Amino acid sequence: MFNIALPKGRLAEKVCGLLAGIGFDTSEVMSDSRRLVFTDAEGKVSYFLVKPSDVAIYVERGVADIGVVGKDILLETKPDVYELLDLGIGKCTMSVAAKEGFRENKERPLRVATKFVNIASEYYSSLNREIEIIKLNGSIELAPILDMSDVIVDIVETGTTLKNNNMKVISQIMPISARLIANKTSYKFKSGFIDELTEKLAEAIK
Amino acid sequence: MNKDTASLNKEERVALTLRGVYESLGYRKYKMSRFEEYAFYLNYKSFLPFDRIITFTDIDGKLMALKPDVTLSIVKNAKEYKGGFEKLYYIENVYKPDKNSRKFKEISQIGLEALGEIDGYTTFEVISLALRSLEAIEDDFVLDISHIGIVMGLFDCGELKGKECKDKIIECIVSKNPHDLAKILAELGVSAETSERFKKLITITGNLGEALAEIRGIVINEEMQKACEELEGVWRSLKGSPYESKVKIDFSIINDINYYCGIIFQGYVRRVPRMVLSGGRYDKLLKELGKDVGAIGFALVTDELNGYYGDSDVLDADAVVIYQKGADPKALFNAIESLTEKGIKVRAETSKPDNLRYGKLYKFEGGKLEEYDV
Repeated sequence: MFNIALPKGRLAEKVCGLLAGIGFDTSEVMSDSRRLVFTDAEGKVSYFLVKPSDVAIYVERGVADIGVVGKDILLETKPDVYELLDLGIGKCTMSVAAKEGFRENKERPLRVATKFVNIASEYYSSLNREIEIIKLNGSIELAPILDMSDVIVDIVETGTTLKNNNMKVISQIMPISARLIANKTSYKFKSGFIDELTEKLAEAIK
Repeated sequence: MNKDTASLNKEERVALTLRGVYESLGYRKYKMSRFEEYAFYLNYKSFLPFDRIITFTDIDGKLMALKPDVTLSIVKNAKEYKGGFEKLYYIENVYKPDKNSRKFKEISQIGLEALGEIDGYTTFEVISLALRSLEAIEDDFVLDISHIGIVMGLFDCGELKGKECKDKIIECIVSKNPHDLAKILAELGVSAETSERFKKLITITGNLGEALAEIRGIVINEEMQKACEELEGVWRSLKGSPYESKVKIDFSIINDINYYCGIIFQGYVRRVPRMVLSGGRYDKLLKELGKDVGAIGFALVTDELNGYYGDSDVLDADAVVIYQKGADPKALFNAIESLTEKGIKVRAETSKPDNLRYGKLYKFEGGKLEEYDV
């Protein structure tokens, strides 16, 4: 049995489409959104739908042989997995954003609200800028609006949410996209299958 | 399974097997002192893959450390072996910070070290023992092998400068990430030829013997040439042995470039989702400690084995004897002994136990044992 962890939501549909394109039977995964585990008709491949930020955990612990996860999660959690392919989907940018007209006061530490504590810390440490991290789990944009933080570090896809909240991107940290990852032990024992799948996917997204 | 070892769990059985394997080649057991002076670890902190150590102040005011690592201790205590070897193995618990729980974790480890003027034979002996260590866990295993000289030699191509770019490139190699590697090298203005060689560090995989021709193809300097020859030497010794197909080349296993030099390896078994064995040549540490010899060794992490290989399905007792309070102790003990003499494990209880796995049930009444249904 080969196990694949997929991130619940929009990205899962895109990945299922890609997998279907290279001969995987993902019809069931796409038809029913309430179930969490699906097995293909031949009983050879299982798919788990998990929270996007948990995909790397399932793969690192070997429950899933491979998975699809955003580069943001990989940079933030640094799981011990192989990152085999940039799938070029789920594209966005890890950015610093602030309210329109924001002017940074360099005399004090910058207050940064974010879900991505490690990415934000590493970025500002590379700039030698002292910061105060405010860890939030959602609605990050609210922090500068309520003046709880000066800026936010978050992924920005279209910028619409920022615009609606009278905010803008002030610097871009790095581009983000979905990556194909594999468990290290799985790769040792199933490298033929995983390499073939990776090559076919690479060909399909060209 | 031998009746004497049937009740041992996986970790204990592996330890028992490996003691025999290591001692058969003359490796002596090393027992580490529970506490060692913290100052020693502080001086050689760069050789530890983590920077937190459990410390406490001893009665005489000295700051002590609780076993963070065994190899450092072995090397410190090893005598100078000119023209000879110090060959040791250990079964120890060490205390390291755990990335996930952010607390210290006790890790049980079995390891082996050979110190001296390491030659082709000693390298092959240690690699063979690493293979037999993995085999003691299960038949389905892989030993990945690499050589630091191939990877570091490529960094000496003259096109790369700066530690930060080196760290980023290594990160890509370790995670077999060709897409980000290509981007980083392009940003650094590295030639297409060199980029292709770096990419090969990710793509050259598989059987060591079959990969050698490809490895020769990326050699650009003496350091890489020497490394390639050492790998060829390992292959020559390995070819035709039962382990031939178990050794694979994989340059992504850069354990720790500050620590290792020369041949390095990592072992995987099918049921454990992460590396279980890691080792290689580590002459730098000995030089640092003023010892003019080399060293090669490995450590096998065993504390997760019980979880992945299931708990022992052996019964807690073959038989339970139920007796009534006030029964004659001597008569009861003799009756029980009549069973244990036959090799039956017996537990005496006053009522039917519900938290025990057992086979037969006996009642002790009127000075006699009577079997009845469980």
